[in-house]
Amino acid sequence: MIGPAALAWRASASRWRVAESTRRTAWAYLFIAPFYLSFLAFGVFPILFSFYLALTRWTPYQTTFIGLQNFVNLVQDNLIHTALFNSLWLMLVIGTIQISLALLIAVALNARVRGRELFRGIFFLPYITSPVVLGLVWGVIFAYSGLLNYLLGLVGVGAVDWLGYASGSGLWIKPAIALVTIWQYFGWNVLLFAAGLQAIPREIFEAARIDGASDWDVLVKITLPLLKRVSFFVVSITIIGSVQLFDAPLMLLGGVAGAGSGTLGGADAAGLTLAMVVYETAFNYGQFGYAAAISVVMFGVLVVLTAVNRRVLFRGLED
Amino acid sequence: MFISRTLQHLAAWTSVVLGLGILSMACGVAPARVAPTSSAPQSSPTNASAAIEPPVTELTVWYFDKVSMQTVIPLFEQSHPGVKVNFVEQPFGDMSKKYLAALAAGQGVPDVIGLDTSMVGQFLDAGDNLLADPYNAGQLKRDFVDWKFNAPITATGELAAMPWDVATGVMFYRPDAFQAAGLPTEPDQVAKAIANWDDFIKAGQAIKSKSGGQTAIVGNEHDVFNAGFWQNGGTIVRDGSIVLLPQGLQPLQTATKARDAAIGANIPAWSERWAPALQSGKIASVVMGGWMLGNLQNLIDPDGSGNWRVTTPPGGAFSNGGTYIQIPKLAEHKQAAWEFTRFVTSDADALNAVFQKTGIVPAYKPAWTSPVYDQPVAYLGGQPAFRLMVNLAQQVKPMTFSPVDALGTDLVNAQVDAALAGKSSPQQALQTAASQLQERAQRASDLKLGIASTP
Repeated sequence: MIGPAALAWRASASRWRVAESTRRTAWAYLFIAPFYLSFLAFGVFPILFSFYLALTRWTPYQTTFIGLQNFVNLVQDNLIHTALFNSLWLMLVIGTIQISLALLIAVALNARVRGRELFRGIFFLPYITSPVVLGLVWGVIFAYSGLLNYLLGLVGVGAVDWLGYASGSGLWIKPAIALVTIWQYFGWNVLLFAAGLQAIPREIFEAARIDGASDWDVLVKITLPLLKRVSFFVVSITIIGSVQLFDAPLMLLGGVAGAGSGTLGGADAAGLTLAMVVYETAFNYGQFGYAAAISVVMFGVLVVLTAVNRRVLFRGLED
Repeated sequence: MFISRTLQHLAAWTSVVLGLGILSMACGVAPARVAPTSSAPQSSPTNASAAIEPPVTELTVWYFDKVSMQTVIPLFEQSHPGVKVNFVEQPFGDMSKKYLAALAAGQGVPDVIGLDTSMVGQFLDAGDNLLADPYNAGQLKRDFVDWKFNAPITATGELAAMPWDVATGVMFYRPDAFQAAGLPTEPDQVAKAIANWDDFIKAGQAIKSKSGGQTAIVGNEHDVFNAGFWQNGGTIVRDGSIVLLPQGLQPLQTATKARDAAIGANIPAWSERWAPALQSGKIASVVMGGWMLGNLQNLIDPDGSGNWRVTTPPGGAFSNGGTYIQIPKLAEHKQAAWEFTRFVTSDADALNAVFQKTGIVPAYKPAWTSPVYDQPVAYLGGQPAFRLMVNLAQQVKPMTFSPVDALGTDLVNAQVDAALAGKSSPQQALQTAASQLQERAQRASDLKLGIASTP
């Protein structure tokens, strides 16, 4: 027998039960508080603030709202054009070579090669080395009388002015930056592809073999299509990483602070990337609003490129 | 069930507290500052003694050179018992960024900051006007090298910083390389034989040909431009006008001539091959600030005592580098900051103590009467080199700073490299740099600048 009081109690209890899921969510948020509080303060807020900053002329002493003036200006700014071209050039070259190389090695290592763990470790080593150390070491390798030109000399190739210091020409600066970056990051891509390959069930390959598929057929018709999701991730982080390229060019070409002869981005500004322009504009020239506008453009470029990448790679896939 | 629920709650709240803790630490919730406070020692037996002790002001000072600060601070604290200096050594490359961030946040700004000459333009607005109360630095003006004192005066007549050292330029050269090329080796004779840049180019050709191309007089021709540009005042903007053409054209033409004569070693200054080339004698001279002596002695060629001499640079006196002391508008202890700034920049004994440790020559003229400037420098083969730097200091052409100096320097460097690579004429190169600077100053900083044409 259930009285009205008991019914009321039940109703309130069921309200409590509804609230239970909310309560659980609340607890979950409390548990991740150390991360999300810092993330809100140091991740989300600066990102949103930079959108506002891009609409201002901002110095430590005053903020003036100037609407879209910064964007109008940067459309006409030659330095930004050069940096955008350099960043896209590096993205295409680094992306193409790095991803093909990583895929090739990952597929090769996926076969039962003796000591493949060792190879994976070796390929991964550059990735965990400090970019500053890499910059210094590669600076010595690329020097006009450096190691690389010495080796080229041994096989009868003339010295190449990699960093443009000897001839004042920036012709080889981008290839040099691309070389360092590919060398540094391809091991990480190998690892991602290897993980993707291991997730493909062996039975599919076996079935294909029984049906008489060649190695090439297996690669093109089975391996690559089934790697699409991993490929999307790899291509996306490569695009983002190479457009945001900063440390390698800075270390290779930065010159020394205060020396008075360091040229921004090397000869012909050939090694000047968008991220470098953002940094220099804000912290060396004190033009924070303009720098924020450049970074908003950079963000836009990345969103478009990632969206295109998604369309291309997922074309024909249902979800 | 109950216990696990309690534990869950406990853990959740701990994580919240932890999160807030991290946040507050990262946001720089500053520890309570103890200034000005009573410095009565804890062990003092009576309250009376606490009343007698003067209150201690804790002064925060940022600078990139430890040796000079560690020399001057104990001397200052000795003569100023009411002030305790908290020196924060800042890496050269990071200091201006940190300063900018502190100014933007309006928090954590030091009371005193030592700015390299290359940073002054960017922070002209940040400094308190030292000509006004309570500083009245104008009273000290006649004791300072004129151009050095006037340089950081803004368009509105405010003195943004006090000069510390003059950083006179000299020519460091290797007598062995000069002798091998049949050139004079004694400083006075070298100064006479290489009085201008044409002489320098001729000497460079002699050194190249006599050494079979092994030795060059200069690292690369950009250095020739730099020295010439500094000799003309090294100014990028003066009176609202970009003066790259009048300041830079003749030096760039000289540098182009030097390139045509192939006197350089194709090694840019401060690149990784530069120091070894100086050490091995592949580069026979360096035309830079006198502070280079410390670099040669301590970093580049420490075993090369006697290898180098200094003399008057071809084309005459210039200044390259040097430090200014600024009291930020946002400084907390301005009175004590000024006492420190005045001591550092105009106490002859303190200046000479720093000079003897570091070799940087003060801009405060009364300090120069000390015999320490006539002492022989063992590293330079016993040459009394500092009197030369002092004498040259007074012949430097006036310079001015502007907020777009850093940008202008980058733009002009790129165009000078282009001109030296034969991609443009000196006139075109500087015109391009000037137009780029005009455009970007207007666009990003709303600074309307004119362009001064060739004189």
